[in-house]
Amino acid sequence: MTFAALGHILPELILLVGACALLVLGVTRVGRAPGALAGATCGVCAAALAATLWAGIPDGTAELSGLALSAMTFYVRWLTLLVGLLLVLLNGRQADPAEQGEYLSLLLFTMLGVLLTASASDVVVLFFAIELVSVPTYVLAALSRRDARASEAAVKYFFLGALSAALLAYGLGFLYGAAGSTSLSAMARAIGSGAEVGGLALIGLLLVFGGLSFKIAAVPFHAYAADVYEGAAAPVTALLGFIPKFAGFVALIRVLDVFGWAMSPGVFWLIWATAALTMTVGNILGLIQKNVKRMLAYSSIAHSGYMLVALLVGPRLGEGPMSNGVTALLFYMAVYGVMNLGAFAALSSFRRGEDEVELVEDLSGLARSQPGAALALCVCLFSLMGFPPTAGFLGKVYIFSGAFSVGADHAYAGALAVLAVIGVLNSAVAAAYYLRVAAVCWVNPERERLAPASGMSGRLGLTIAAVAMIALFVSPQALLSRARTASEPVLSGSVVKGVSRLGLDGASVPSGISAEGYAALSE
Amino acid sequence: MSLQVGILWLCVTALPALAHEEAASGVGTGVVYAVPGGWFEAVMFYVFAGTAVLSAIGVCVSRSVVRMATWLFFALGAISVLYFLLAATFIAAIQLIVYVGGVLILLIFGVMLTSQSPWVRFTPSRLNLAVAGLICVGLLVCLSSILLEADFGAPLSTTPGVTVEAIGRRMLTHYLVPFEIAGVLLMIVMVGAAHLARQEKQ
Repeated sequence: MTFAALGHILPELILLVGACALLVLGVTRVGRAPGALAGATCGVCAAALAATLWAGIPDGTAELSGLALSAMTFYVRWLTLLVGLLLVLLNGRQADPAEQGEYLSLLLFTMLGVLLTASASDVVVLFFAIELVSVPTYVLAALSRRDARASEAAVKYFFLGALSAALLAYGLGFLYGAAGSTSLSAMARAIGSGAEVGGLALIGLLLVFGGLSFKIAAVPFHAYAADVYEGAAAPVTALLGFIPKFAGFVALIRVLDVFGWAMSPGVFWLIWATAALTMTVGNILGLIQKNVKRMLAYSSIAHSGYMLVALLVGPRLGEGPMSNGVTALLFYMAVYGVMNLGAFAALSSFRRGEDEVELVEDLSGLARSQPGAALALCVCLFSLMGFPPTAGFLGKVYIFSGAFSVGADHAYAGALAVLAVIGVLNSAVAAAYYLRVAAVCWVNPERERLAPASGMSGRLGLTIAAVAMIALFVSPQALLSRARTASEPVLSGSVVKGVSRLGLDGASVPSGISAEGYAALSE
Repeated sequence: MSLQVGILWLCVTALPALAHEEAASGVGTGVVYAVPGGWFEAVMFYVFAGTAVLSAIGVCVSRSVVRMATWLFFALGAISVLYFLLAATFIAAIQLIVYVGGVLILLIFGVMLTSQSPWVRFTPSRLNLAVAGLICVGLLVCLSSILLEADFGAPLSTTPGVTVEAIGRRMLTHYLVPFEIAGVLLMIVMVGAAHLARQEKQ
């Protein structure tokens, strides 16, 4: 690794340095000025975003040990930083003023973890990156408000998170034992795919899937979600709904890539059952919730189920834009991140007395007192429901049509179609609880006037999210083409076969997921 | 009483390990304490693997936190000896220093400072015990059935003597990125712990 190679990870470096600077700034007089730290955090995010866009899609030539930059890295970088900017807007005024520096720097650190997850080409880096995503979120949950419930949420989250880290490490240990190398590309070569995969690697895959299931809150590892979402303050909950889930799915893509996506029956049915259970349990438990944050927690569990369907479809070449599971997953992740954030932004922009909005009933008559906010909230809810004209509808269409269109030659075409039917039925069930919130806002008489929470940033985040949902429905092409480019390194199946995808000029460039540069370095 | 026994046992277990490290450093001079794969190594392996497993069971079945810590003491110490037997002297030393010397002492301190009485007892419900037992048996059967059939391939290296220098070089070149991330992670943990543990301001 040379000094020049550091230029390739400029966004990560900006986040790292910025987060450390915020820690220091938080205890100085400059940092006590209102809005200074939030502004600085926005600046760091914007700088990292600018560096990402300036660098463009990495060509895969960077020689960094343990990191392989690809089109996927680029996608994850800009998406994380863009949603991160919105999250900073939401979180600008929440914490105790004396803790603002630590609070915002932890927010940046968890984003750094997602960025590193997307470029990890070595399981050691992958494990640390996932932990870098997780550890700050435990602290953020505890710091988010002065309330015993927040502490309880943080403790639950921490212990279950520690268990998931142990599962992940145990699983990665088995993978290392099976392959004799920690590099993902070397692992892919040693492990093989489909029926060649030995027992050791299989145990490893199952344990890693279990560990990452905690991060994406898939059933049966979902139990913490409702309590943690309820306990933490709404702006942090918006973060918990997106950042760990995104990192988890990106890590799952990388791990399944090692196995070449040709799943053995056991693995396929395991993920199939997890997806079906996650959708169903999430939606059914969502139906019976009275607390709106718990309801959104179960909704986020159900959404993980939909995304697992896309993961199961996997990368597929040349069958139209809608049939590639990884593209659909990446597209859905972006849409989900924004709509979920919008819903929590709405909850954090009103106050009921001194406290946050808790129960669905608390939103009674919101449309009368604050029609704009109620409309924006409903746009986000309709998007979560998957109802046109919102981007959530397109996301669901891409995922389920992908599952339907795998073709009869696919070994599990029937099972995937059944799964898609389960998904569509679940979306219909989910409509009931989203519509209940919308109805409470518009139909019920006003019970108690909700005061706007201090600061405009929550409203701004809510507005941006709602507008983005409509805009992405009208013209999804820009996001879709980016998602497709990002899933190309996965498509080429380069990790297993060691072939490279074609570059622009016809010359072969090393594929992103497996960095040949890294492989060369390690040999 | 059990603590004294623990310390005594650790001293006893550390002796052959230390001797083995002497041997590993003296490979060039022809002083070989344990021939890899020889009967002595086999005996040592079974003794300490057995100690590790029994102590781990002890951690699970004892009810008092201090007793658990003591059992953990044996388990971690025995695992460190296993590392010595594999001639992984660096990781064995780290295991002794960090886990036996650090984590365990922290654990005892934690119990001392947070609980009303050092004899905190865990009383899990029967149902929990039954479920946990079932899961453990299931895991044991599945893992052992797969592990017994698994093909571990040829050993990567049979020569002992990966030196600390080589590990250090590798950490600061090939594994620089994870090394740095680990540093950041530890800093975050420190910041978080300091915030959560401090006293409420007035």
